[in-house]
Amino acid sequence: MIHLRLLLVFIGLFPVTCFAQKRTTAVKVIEQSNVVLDFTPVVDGKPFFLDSVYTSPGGDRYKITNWKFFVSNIALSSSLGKEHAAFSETKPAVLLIDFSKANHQILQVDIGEYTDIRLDVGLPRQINHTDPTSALPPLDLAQQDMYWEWNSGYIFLLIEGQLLHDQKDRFHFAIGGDNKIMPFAHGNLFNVVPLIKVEKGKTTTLRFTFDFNKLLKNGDGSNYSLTAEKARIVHGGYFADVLSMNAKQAMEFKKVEMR
Amino acid sequence: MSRRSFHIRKNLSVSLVLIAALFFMVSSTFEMSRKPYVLKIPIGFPPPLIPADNELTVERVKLGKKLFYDKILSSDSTISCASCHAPEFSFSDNRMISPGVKQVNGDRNSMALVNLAWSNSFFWDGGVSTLEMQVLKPLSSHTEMNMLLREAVYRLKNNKEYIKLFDKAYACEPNPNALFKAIASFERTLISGNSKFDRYFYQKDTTAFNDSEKRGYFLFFGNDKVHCVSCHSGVNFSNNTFQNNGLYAEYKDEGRARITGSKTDIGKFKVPTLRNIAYTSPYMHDGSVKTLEDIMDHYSSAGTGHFNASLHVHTGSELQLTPQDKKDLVSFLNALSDEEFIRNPEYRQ
Repeated sequence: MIHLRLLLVFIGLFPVTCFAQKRTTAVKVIEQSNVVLDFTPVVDGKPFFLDSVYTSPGGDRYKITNWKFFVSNIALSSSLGKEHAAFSETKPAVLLIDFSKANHQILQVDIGEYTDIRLDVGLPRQINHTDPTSALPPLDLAQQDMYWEWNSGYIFLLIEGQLLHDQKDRFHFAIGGDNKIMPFAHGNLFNVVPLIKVEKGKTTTLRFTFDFNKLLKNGDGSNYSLTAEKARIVHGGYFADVLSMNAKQAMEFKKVEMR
Repeated sequence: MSRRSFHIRKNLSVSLVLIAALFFMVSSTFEMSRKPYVLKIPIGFPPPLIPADNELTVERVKLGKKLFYDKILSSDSTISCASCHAPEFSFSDNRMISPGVKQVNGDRNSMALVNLAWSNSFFWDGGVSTLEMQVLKPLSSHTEMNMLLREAVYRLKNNKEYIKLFDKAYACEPNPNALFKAIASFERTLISGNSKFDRYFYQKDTTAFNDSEKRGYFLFFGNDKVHCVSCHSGVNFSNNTFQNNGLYAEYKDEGRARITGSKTDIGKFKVPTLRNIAYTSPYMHDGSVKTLEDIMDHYSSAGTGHFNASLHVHTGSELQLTPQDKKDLVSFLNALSDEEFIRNPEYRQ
């Protein structure tokens, strides 16, 4: 009976000792603060509005009715330290930027001073091939037009609109596929003066612009022509390659704000 | 042992028995609602491809079948999956191009739904690699059911019968994941493996073929002249590859290239199953070939010599099938019909 009592006492104490053990193990917590990525659509550097009429570098009059893209792999870095990823609810952040809506999602980044930012327009391979029917927003199928229904994977960049010529041809740029991810980086790792500060209790806003007319400007200086149907209805192939290359120069990092 | 401790022990035993009985009843009820659906695998077929997260159960197949035939999944509630995939046509239809809602035509011929549990890519261009995700395209395409997924789920959530069926099948309310899984479950049960060919080849019944069918069989599999089996191989008469069969010199529909963006894939389409081919006319990706005899003429003339044309279509080699060869090959193709499959009441509404 004495043995039994001793055993009960031992069992009773076991969780307490374990708990005490846990509490004594120090874990260094890196503090994080708020970062907002703000993307503004522009045409020739001027404010853009859906359904307004603009003129392309090639002289085509057009309007855009739908403009969306995924942003992932967001990270800040400096020459003195490692890269620090942006998180959203403890997961590496994935944003869906929809220019028909306000885009204001607060991300978490380690407190620090950074000289460089990078992000991808698109999704990493492991996300691109998950089951969208069981994915959480923004990767769920509530955004049905951002998933290929006849192909596997997400559409990284979707821009739809109409040419305002006699025929009123529509254009539809749907760029996706693992090899079409569009990396973007800004800054200089070797800058002495940090470009971006992430401070405790403050929100750092990083402002970008995405210029549609720069998307229609090719790397060799020529204009992306919307004349041919294959250049207007783009799901893959040569024209998707051209547009995904142009997208890198169409996006610009503008400024940092801190409040 | 004291009297008190005896009573405690007795009460404890009774409680344990009651708990065990309750547990058994609950688990039995749960198991009943998840009764495995046992596929009848034809002789000679390998094990089917069934994803671990969508094991077949009676309730899932039942739900999938109801959804397959229900017009609730089209935007104007006028068509269902079965409108273009009817059992009497081996789950295909007899039109060149099937109309979707408001009679808007798509751009490709409706494919037969046969032995899909042995297929690893779907659609004529193989753009989707799972039977579950395949459901999204016909559901949402403007030229098919033209349905927003959220609207489909909304309708199902507002239907008491579907709420019960989804709960029994997947223990959840209607959602995209379960919707796709259920339809895929039903489609996996569409198994055809009892044609004359199966009786001759797999079941070793040497009397199954008549003379013409037997000659056609040797032409089909023979290496010297036609060798259709270069592409139409395996239990499903498809090697699951993408081939350009020289149908056109220039393709309006780029086929597999639509997915890969590669010039070498222009005009390539998935090698279709030939099972029940007598029921699935017209043929080819665009339904442009009306009869089996026309197919023989196409392959005999070696096609148009497209730069991606498969070497197996004998381009330029003047295959020149004799009228008897053509007749025998058509006889053989007709012997791939499985009446039991076509008339199976389990597949019908």
